[in-house]
Amino acid sequence: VNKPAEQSSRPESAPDDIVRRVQEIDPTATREAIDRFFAEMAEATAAVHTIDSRGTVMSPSFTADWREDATE
Amino acid sequence: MSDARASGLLELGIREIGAGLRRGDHSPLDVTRAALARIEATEISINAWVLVDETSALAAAAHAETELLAGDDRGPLHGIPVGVKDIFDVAGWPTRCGSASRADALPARADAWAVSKLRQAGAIFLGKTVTQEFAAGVISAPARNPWDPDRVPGGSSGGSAAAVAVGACLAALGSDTGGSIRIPAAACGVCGFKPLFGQLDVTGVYPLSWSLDTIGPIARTVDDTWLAWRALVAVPERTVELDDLRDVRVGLPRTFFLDWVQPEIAMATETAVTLLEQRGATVIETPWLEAAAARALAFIINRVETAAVHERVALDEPERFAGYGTELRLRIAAGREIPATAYVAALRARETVRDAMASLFAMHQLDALLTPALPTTAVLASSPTIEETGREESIGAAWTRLTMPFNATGQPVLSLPCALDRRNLPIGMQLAGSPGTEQKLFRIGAALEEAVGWRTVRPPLLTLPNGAPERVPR
Repeated sequence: VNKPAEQSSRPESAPDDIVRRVQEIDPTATREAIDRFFAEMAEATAAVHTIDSRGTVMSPSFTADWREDATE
Repeated sequence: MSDARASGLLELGIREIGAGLRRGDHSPLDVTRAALARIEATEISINAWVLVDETSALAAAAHAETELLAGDDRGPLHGIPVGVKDIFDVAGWPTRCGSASRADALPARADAWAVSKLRQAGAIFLGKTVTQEFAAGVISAPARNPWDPDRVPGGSSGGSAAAVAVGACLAALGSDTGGSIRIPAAACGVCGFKPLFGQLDVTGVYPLSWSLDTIGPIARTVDDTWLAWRALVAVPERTVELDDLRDVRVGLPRTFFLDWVQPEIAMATETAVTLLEQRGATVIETPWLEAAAARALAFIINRVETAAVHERVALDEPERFAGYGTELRLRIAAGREIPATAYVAALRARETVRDAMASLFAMHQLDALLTPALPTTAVLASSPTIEETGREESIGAAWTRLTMPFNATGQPVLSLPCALDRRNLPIGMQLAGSPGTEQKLFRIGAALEEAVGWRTVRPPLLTLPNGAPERVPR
């Protein structure tokens, strides 16, 4: 059932100025941990962009029941 | 009442205990004393509670007894002992949120909305349960899993799930922003319900990510969960009937939800499909193409809003911020650096994802989607790593992978145990429904629970000798 092994996060480095600002607030944060955070974020952002490009927004009336909950 | 008989009370469901209360077979004091004794007997192994208030629990039980004797019946939860995750305010108790930074928190002045609803329903609050720090994570240390105390109970409502699993309370309140009700429910072999986003008032609950935060009940059976949820939403009393499922259509999105899971979990999912079909349900393959994006957008919203919630402490109270755990400090400090455009894109994509889910339900006339709740069973606390899924990822990423997509859509989701793996650890399934059809969701869940034969399955911890372990210091 399982697919071949996949690595979920790409090795990407966070820019130095971001690392500096993060460490100003959390001096214990390591470069490695910050890189890992931003690698996960980059992967998530890329996944969200697949939605942007699909353009599959439905008619608002079609999903009215699903929107009643929205409080944002 | 003898100790053995009192302990046996806790093996009953809420409905059965309630029937006994009204017949006079036992009293709320009997049930509450039994629950307190169960806490005493199990706490040394599972560390599920951060606060137990025997005095107030016994006083509330005595009051419930007086009311029931006078015929003042508040409903199914009247006289039933419950727990509450330590991010909910309970008047008179501190809300420490599992964080050393809040060790000096003063007692809350008022109950959270959900606590007041259960109190109005006559529930007896025993105390507060362990949460991952500020509900941000899936480990819930120092709580442990009743099926194997060397393993984590899941999180962030880990104490609530572990306490329910051993019968130390009949229901408990939890919160679910990325899966924090369903994840520990699955890991501990109990049920959990994440209601429709926005349906329940979160006033008095410490926020994690306000666009995703949901609160709901954890209980041992589908029916107990239904009764606890009913007390929160005040829907009319109806038994969750166990008739056949010939009018039910269930979708199975194999892609994404079965791609990287422990093989036994994939097998348990197929077994659940077979059991539902044997009950008359129609189960159809329904790919959900946006599932990965749904998970991703909820992840981004969660990280940005968590940073916003804690930003003032991080910037203005460095000494207090130093009391936060390492992982959460990083999440907050780094979360501030996520671009606003990424957050706004995630919010916009959420609308599309929600539309796509509504479309999927409409197109296939679905009543529910069936998926595993977790890609693995409970992991070791000493080395919480993910194995046997064919994918290299952190436990935090792996254990929210199958739950978080439904926080993006906001739809109601019921989690229930369906099997044990070869290590005797529970496997949980999710049934994701559509707004307004919660009763049908519980009906499907109850039928599956009965088909699996789970109602009498208990963690091995309960077979340990009933000694008198020393009280865990608080």
